[in-house]
Amino acid sequence: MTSNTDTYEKALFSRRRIIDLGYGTGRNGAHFGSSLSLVDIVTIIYSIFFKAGVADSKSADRNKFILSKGHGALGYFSVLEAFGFIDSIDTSGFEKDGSNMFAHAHKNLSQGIEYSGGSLGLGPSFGVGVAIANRIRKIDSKVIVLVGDGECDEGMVWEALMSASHYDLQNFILIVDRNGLQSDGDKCSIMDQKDLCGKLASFGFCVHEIDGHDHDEIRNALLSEGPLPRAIVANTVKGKGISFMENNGDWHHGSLTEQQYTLAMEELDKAS
Amino acid sequence: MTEINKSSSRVFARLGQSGAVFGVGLIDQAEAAENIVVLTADMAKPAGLSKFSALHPEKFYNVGIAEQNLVGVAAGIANEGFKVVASAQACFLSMRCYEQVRQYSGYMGLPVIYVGVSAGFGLTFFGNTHYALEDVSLYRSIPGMVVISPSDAGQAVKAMAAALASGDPVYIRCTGVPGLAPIYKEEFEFEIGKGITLQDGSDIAIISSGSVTRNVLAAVEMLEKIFNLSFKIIDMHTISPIDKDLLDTCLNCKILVTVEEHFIDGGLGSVVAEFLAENHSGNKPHLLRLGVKNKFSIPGDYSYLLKANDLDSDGLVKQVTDVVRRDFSDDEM
Repeated sequence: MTSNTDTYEKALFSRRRIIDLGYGTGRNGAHFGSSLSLVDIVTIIYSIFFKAGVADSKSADRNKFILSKGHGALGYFSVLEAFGFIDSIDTSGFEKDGSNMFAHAHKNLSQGIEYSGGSLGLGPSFGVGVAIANRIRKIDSKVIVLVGDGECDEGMVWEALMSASHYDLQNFILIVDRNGLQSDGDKCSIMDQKDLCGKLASFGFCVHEIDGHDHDEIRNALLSEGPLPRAIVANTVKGKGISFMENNGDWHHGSLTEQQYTLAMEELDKAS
Repeated sequence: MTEINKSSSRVFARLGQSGAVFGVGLIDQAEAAENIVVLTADMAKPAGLSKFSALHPEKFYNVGIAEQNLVGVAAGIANEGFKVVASAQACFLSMRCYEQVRQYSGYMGLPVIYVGVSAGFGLTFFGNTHYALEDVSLYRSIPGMVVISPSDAGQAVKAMAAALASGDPVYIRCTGVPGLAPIYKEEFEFEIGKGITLQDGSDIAIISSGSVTRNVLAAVEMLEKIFNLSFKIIDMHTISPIDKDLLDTCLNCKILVTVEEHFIDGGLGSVVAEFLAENHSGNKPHLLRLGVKNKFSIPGDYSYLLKANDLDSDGLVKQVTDVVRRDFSDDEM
């Protein structure tokens, strides 16, 4: 397992890549907000559950990470690069014609990508299926599904959670990247989920509410064990790390001017 | 593998298509292959899965009334190398979770076998919410998806065995109600994508799929008494990919008729229309597409609904007769 210093360095590296690669899309723009909100969560997942540098696609008992909120792909690719699963030549193809690296992560086992995301709400059921298959095969590995809080508006998420609990899938871990914003703006004013933690608990999950940017808190929640499937509600800041993007719904998907790019990179330099 | 013979065909017929698939066929297949997992969305009893679930509780998952989750969980299990069968009522398995099927089995290519129970008018007095008359149209538009509509219960058992062996995503559309007389009473070869010529002929070709094929056979017997014409009958159990070689053999006929228990637009008739529109042989048979008119029906029992849509043998005879009289001269008939 990597130390805190290492993981913060990796997260910072990933944020730089998000800004770089996102800027490279020009006017097409990229999902900066979500990519930046999930970086710390995904960094800690990879530091705990995956061996850096090799996409271990052949081993049946590998842990599996499923990015259900597929539009966080840019952040995901950046973390995969930070851990050596994808090289910079591949990520540099982000949103270039014909590249496998586009706005939503596409299954590619050689790059350690287990799932094709994009359509929201479809990752948890898939993860439940993988966890059931693992149990049939007597494999003890983890299935970690990352959803957004906006994504939890989808009814299918709750069908999946009901079944994870019904089937006692202890190795199923749901993480909600709760950044409080969705495409049209403020989550609470669009569709208030009220007591999300209470809802998850009532569905039979052991719920941890944490700061989704604090690496110790993320790590502790991920490493806790128990008889119930786990749900980690990670409170995050959409656009985390870039002042003008933070908590600003306009950066759910947007494009950077040269001036904004320079400012963003300066802010990340100061953070290092 | 259960052989089709006089006695097994009778047993299958009594169980109906899904009853034979789940109550007999899949039980045999699960004995032969360790890695079969079956899921349902609260449809175990009506689909005929009670015996399988009792024999193989570790291979059986009932996710409740949640077809979207059914498909997602099935896909996740299939992703790990299991052969997965997901079953629900055809109307919901095609419409409620259409995007899920497209995502997991189309886009991600996961080879789940989807079994649509009580397709067509199978749910009779439940009414239009429960009819599946657009399922072929939907499933066949998913890239890589195989669509099979067996013509009798024994063929449905063979279709399942072939689907399990194929490694492709497959939709098996179970039509009819239990008790329909079998079409196949002795062993026959079933191959996905290869239609079966039930009767060869040269003037009129009738291409059919599903349990309504029985009515086609009866209708042709009657038509042969009326007209001095030669009828070819094809059981086109696989609608996608369509058997183009077999369709080529129909191009010399003057009339091509498609028959299906499905809305006329989007199913077998549309597939054949697309084939004809693109064929360059110079022969252009007239096409008559018979199926369910594109409107909702007033409920009734199975034979009432087929009759109301002119899909009973009398209705088929009438519709074909009109076109024959139009297209053939008195001398030819």
